[in-house]
Amino acid sequence: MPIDRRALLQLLSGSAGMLAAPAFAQGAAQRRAGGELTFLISSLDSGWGLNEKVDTYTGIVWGQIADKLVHVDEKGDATPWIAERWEENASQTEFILHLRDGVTFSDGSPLNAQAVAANIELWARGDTSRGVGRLGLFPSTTYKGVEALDDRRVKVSFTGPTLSFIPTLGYHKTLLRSVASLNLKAEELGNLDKQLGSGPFVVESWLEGDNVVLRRRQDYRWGPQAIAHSGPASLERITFKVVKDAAIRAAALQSGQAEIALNIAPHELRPLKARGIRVVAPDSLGFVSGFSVNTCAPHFDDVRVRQALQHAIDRQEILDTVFTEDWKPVTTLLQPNVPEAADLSALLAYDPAKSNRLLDEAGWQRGADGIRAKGADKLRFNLFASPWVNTSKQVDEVIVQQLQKVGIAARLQVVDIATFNARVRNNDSVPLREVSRSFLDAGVVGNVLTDADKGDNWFKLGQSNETLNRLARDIAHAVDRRARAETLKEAQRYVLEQGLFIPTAQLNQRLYVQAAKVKGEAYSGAGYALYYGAWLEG
Amino acid sequence: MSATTLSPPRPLAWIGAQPLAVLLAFAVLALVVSWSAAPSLFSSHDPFLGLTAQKLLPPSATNWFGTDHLGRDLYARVVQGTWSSVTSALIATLIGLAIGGLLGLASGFLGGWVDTVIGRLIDMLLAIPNFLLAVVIVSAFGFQTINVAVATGVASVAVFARLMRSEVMKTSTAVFVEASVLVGGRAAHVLLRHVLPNAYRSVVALAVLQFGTSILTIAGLAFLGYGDPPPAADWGLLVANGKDYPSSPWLVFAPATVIVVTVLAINRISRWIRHAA
Amino acid sequence: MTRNTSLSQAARRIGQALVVILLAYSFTFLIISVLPGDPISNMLLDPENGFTEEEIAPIIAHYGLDRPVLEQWWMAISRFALGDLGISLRSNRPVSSMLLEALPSTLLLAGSAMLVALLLALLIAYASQNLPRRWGQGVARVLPALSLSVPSFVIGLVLIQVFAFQLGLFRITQPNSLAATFFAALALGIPVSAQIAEVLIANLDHEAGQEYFAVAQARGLRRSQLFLRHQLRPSALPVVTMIALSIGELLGGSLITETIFGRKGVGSLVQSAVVTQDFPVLQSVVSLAAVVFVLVNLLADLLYPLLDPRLRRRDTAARDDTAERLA
Repeated sequence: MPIDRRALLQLLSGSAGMLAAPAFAQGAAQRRAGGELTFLISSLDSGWGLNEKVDTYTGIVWGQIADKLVHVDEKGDATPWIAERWEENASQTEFILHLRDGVTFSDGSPLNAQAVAANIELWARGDTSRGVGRLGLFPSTTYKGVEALDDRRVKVSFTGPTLSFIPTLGYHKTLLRSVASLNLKAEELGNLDKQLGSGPFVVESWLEGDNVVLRRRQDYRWGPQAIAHSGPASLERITFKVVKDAAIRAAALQSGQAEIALNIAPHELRPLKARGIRVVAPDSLGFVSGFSVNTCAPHFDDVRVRQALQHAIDRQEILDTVFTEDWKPVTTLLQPNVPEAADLSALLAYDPAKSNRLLDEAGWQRGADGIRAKGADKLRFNLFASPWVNTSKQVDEVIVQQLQKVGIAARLQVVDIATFNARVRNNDSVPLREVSRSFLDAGVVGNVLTDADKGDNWFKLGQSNETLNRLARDIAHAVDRRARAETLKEAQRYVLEQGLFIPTAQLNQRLYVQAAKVKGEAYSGAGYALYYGAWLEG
Repeated sequence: MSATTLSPPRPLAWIGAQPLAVLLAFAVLALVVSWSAAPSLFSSHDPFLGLTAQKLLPPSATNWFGTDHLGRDLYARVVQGTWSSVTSALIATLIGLAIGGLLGLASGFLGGWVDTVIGRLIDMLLAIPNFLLAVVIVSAFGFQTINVAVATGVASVAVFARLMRSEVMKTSTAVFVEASVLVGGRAAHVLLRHVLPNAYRSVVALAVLQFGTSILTIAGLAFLGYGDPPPAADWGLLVANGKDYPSSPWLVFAPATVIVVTVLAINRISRWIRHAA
Repeated sequence: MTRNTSLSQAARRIGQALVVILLAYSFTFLIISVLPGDPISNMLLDPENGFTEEEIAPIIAHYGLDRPVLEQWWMAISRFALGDLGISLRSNRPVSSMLLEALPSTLLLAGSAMLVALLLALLIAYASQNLPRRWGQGVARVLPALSLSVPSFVIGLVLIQVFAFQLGLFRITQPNSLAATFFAALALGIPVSAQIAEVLIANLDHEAGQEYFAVAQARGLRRSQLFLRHQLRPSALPVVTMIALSIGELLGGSLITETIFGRKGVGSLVQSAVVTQDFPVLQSVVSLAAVVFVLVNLLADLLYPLLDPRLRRRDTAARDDTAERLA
């Protein structure tokens, strides 16, 4: 890259005026104001409370009601939104956010430095007295404090270098809410009437777990710089309606009863496309779908078994059987759009002969039933489908068939979230754990390798592996993105070579299936839609 | 029943005398029993291993019911799932019959405070909607066919208990039973000799109905997403999984038809039992 | 019957009803306490967040979910006894207001479903007596068994596919419109109608076999008169019993129907409460179902003497009696 991305970013944000983006971009000539959008969503069960109450579904609704400090695009680059620019010190421990002027919440109260400080403090620490936990993705371990320097400047301090701070501000849960909303009593937190944001839409009506009707806010004029639109939103109204069954969502869309449906099963996409319906699978930052391998599980301390698994999986067959051309092939453990993602396809090649050889070498002989064994000890284990990923069951069914071919017996288990947590989470007899994790900054990778600094310790190696220790340390202490990218690439290669992570497919947790007339919507780096700039054709 | 067992001399003539529908029902039942006894005799396809290149094929001469999303032969899977569907239905029925029957018997026969306590328990079970009860039980104990069978069984305890109680009360106040007690018959004797033989018919008829209910409950639970451990091929699961593939409607209609035909056959036979008795 | 005894009897019935409701509440609590985990850790232990167990412990303690089961039960039931349904662990809102939101829609659905079921059952029963014997009656008699053997969600899915998406008679986004409610009621009512029809047909057959029926027939009464006066009226009692018994079925079935038709109601509330293990909501709904069941059965008991003068002196025996005809 000829230009340092960060330098470019600061240049951009420094010069950020409200209308920095060219107004003539993307079909401004045909843009039509007005119109109503109906969005069929799978669930709105998690309610409207703070921090972790925002889930993958309510996050989409929140994205229209509340603004964020920055917008993060699919490459992980942060661009100005409510923070019109920011400064950071060389050691990445202090950040000063400069806020846009004249922004108000929907009740007219100002979105000033004090309000932002209150929001950041709650993300970082939560409020146990009201049962509100901190925000999982927020860099709380290094967080020191927040201070409003004046009405429009906020200073945030950390105890160590925190490269991930700015990108995290574009996360779907770091929503700016009014101070009154943050301070509601515990039993009022879920009342959407009292949860106010400063976004382009306001809540017109809602019914718990069923629907939310949004109306455009007439005085809105502080949309993200990255969206080629200014002033109030074009759409008059957006209705989010819960339809739990994916097949019914698809049929409703097909018969024109809605404009957008979320997450339709991949195998039903082709007939929809044939009728001119568009499938949008926004790139989202994070890990790909796959398994982290627990080296404490029986037989999986042997690197040959892990590598055999790596090569026994035919990722193309998974793509062909379960998914469509909207899914890109995986090349590493990071999603294809992550700037730090390396192309390590060679390490993931389907090679059953190699798997068989590795297993033979490791002393696993095929028994009469086709399953490999060492004496009475058979090479078999329980494979738990992830309850958080819709397509997990289908993918795992294919994997079970593939493993069977090299003599590994995997028994598929499908359980709900509660059972999964009880039976899989701290169970060292389960070798493979399905990963579904998004992030806005790849620094998270350093946090999963070991158990240092409250690390997630995915592979259960603790701090026993010197290579992983070094990689984790270097990633955590990086103050420069470019240098860190090199370390991250080394980490990916090492983890895949050692068979510690078995990627399966690209993770598309939010698939927007929509009528062709929907134009101008944008997506955040985590794949959340923004309908501020959207409009309906015709 | 007695009427049929008493006419042995000419079996062929007896068969000829039955309505066609009854004979058909017995044929269906025989087929279902053979499917569950020896599934491999009825299909050459592997119900668990498919060719992914042949996924979602419509019904044809080679794949009678078509193939599913992994290219597995659906007919083979239906045949394979028979045993587990039939056993789970039997377990569900037996639980309801045994527990409900005993409770109802104790309640009706002993009366007094036993009747009061059991009565409230039964009221409670009746007051909790069956399906809700099954959902709660399955999510508490995990989704396995056996748990669904238990859940369906427990949910039907109340109905069996009520039925048994009323049957017992009716027969024990009948003239001949009162007479038997008057001439000094012991309680157990009265129970075995008079009460049970009179009560069994309607209880058995209800038990037969439970078969279909159980399969449908499994289907309903699977529909609501209470997981399922693939590669299970229970009929109810097949229907529930099939509805996710609306562009391959045979995945719903083939197994659903099998359920409907089986349940209809069993209903017909239970009606025939009542009339023949 | 004197005023005094009927008063004490009413008091006894109400006492019994209260016991049943408290039992239902405790029973649900018992079963739910077997469930692994709790809603708070289910939410927080999403791998997306990367939380550790120690980190979320204070939050779980805030909701009192770390206390012994018995203590939790006592806290819950003493609150419940005072009429406080608690706060939903999922949505952070009072359970009472969530219930109030959901109730009207479900009552409307269940009520219309019952109406649909009754009409269908009457139609089938009439056909079973009066259509040409060979095929007409046969078909009418197979219908209930047929609709009892089709998974109810298949009925719902077919109805919505045909009438909403093919014919465009209603929109999935307006589940409370007249047409949408009608088809939802049809989906929910069909299995119930089958049960009522079964009982009705059995009773009609029984009445048709009675001597006075033959006499009335011989007197040359018109078929419809014969049906109404000599078959249907004497069969009303078991039908009322069946209706009372099916209330639970309607509430249970609304779980599936509301999910398919996208209706917000008690059924969908339960559905999401089970998924997220929202104990306060789940227990309240079960207790509510128990209350409704008790009330309806009380009403049925009051109706019996009006329907059948012979029953003025008898109590619930008649109610039990009809369960047998179900089979």
